[in-house]
Amino acid sequence: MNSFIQSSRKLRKVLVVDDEPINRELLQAILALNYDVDAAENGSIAMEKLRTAEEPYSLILLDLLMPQKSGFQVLEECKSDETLKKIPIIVMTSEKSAEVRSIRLGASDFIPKPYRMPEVILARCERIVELSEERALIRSIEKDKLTDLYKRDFFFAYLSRLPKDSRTPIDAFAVKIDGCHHLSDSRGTHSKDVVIKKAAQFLLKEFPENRGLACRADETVFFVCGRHINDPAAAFENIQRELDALSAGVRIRAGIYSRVNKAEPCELWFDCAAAACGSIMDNSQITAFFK
Amino acid sequence: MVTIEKLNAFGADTSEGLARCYNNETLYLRLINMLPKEKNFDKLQTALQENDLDAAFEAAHALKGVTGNLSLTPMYNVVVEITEPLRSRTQMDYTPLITELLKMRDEIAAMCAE
Repeated sequence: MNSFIQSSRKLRKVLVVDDEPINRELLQAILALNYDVDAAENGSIAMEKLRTAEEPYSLILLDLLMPQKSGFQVLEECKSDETLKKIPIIVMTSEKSAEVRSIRLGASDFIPKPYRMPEVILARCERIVELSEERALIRSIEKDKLTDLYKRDFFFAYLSRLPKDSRTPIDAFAVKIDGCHHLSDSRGTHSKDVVIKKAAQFLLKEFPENRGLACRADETVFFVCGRHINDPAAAFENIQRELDALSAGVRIRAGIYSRVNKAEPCELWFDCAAAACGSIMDNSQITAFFK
Repeated sequence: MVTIEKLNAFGADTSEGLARCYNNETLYLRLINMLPKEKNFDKLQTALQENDLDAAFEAAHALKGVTGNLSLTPMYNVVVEITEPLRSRTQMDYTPLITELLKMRDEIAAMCAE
């Protein structure tokens, strides 16, 4: 992180969760050099502090073996909470088997017991907090605020990571929403935004995250990239039905480049799909790009 | 009162313990002074007397972390000898080990009280 920003910010908050007073005191002393440290003597108090904190914690250091509510239970509760799951958790344990289990449950790192030297603990904490903050920053800017779809640049950046030699066939769609502008003229921008947002939601319903990636490429244009499907027309018929129920006169059309050539740059896939989309003159919903 | 010299005589690895505390002797000795009040010693003894090996393992495991962090090596070694068979809930006579452990706890308590 930029050192000017780093030196200007106030101390980040860390929560130490350990039922052992000696361990809590030791960690608080080590971390107090760089952090505003809070402590909880058991899992229930920890969850209470996390849920009621005025300012979110930047890091949790979590003992695993605690009476009543174990560290594993705290870990699971945090990772299933929409807000708390963003806070990185470093678990503290002397059990090798617990290390693997806790990483699988979502812990970012582990600190073995007895503790390593304080410099090592501080360096690990710093690294984890930095990674988490960078991830949060990217998350806050990678998506279009209205539709929650990826922005175009991030979409192509993620797509470029697809392995070129993968055998999974992939389709690229360029999707256009027509008829929104008349909504803006007659009923103001708000109505147009509502339709665009809803269209994006309907699109994500047909092309969920585990099957593909979607972005808002332009004001009323979406790109979707996903595993090949045999009958894409059905998906767009569903979306059109939902749009008809929402607002008359709004139409969706899509161009598809089916089973893309992965040797080509991914931007080219969508140029082809967009060309196909642009060629739709009649009432058909979808047309394919042919090479 | 407890001093680095007394801890050295006890067998503690005080240079490691101090390093863990940023060589802050005041902090290190303050933590040592907390040890006699550590509840898991009695919890371990009671659990073993009642043959509650789950509770005994929990207590022993906690003491392993604490004595290790304080680099109280002789104590840590005894705790490890207790913890490892308890991990698999082994039925054995833990009396000699817990007696030795509590004797060391009392030795540290006496140092702190002087």
